[in-house]
Amino acid sequence: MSPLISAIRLAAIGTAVAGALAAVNSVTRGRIEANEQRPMVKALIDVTGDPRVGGLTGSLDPPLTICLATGVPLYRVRHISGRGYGGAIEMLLGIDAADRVTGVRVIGHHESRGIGDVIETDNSAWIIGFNGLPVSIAPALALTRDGGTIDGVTGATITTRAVVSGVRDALVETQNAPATRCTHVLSG
Amino acid sequence: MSYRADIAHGNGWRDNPALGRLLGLCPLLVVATNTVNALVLSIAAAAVLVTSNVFIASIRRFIPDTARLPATMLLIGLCTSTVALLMQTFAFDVYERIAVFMQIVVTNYFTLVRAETAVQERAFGYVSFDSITTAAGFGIVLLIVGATREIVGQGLPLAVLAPGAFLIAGLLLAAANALGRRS
Repeated sequence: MSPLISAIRLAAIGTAVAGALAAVNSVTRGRIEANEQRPMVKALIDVTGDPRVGGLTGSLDPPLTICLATGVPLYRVRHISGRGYGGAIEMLLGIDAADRVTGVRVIGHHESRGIGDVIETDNSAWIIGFNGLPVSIAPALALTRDGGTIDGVTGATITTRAVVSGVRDALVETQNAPATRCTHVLSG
Repeated sequence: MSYRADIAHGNGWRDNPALGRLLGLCPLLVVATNTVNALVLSIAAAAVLVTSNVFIASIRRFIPDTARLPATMLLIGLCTSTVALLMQTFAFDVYERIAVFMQIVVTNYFTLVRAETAVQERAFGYVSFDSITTAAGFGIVLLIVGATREIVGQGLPLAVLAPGAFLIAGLLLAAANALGRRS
């Protein structure tokens, strides 16, 4: 076989492989993107406490302002990052139209297993304690041992303090932020 | 011994990819921390191995001799990416656990060795049987390591960490040699 024919055959195989892969990719892409967003969708439902949020489409990167079809804002969702014992603690914070916290959830952390992971709802209800707090409480939001009103968790002071100060900073920012425009609209 | 029994014996025991040739040890040591991960990776690796070899065997007359390696790599790459994309579509959570090692199945040397067999003048049945037994041989070792680490890890956390993987794989290798496995 001449080198030219070998080269042409190799090029043909390469082209066929690329084409086949492109076809598989275009068929699976939609489902894969939905799968990748699933943890985010679940976290959004948790921090707003509203299952209708599960039907939102498009980019779900915070900050979000979720409105009714009439344009009335319902929830604001912010991303918070706190410095914990093992590095960054990534959280979502939901606030409703009455300026009350609807929920805080950790979406990523590197805290010690069995100690710092009390911030996950799977292990402890501690983080549910933020629900219902008014935004105006923000400057005074702290652990009881820091002179505030939030009970820390023994053995996980650094972790819980990081969560509390992250939430406090985000609430202060929210208080000072101008009214935001709707990024998403709830259908139904 | 019939020739099928000989192939099965060779690929599953005598020249087992993991125990005989010490190939595919990277996923073996890292992914096989429990039975489920081991099972998922062995099924995925088997799917890549079998589909790519059957694929290569069916177009082997078209593959140029001088460019056999790049051509087979392309085809193995196609099979690996397709399996990875299908897993992300239908079994996303499972895929997340073995993601990195799923993507590098393409570089598993034993996949390539089997592909070399497939491009040579071999009957179709031989190629499929050869790759299925190789995949089974690898899968069984993965499962043994995964299950052992999961069970021992209940009482001895070292087993699920990296040193535990080396110890268990080493003991398994020693046991296989003691049982008279010779390649």
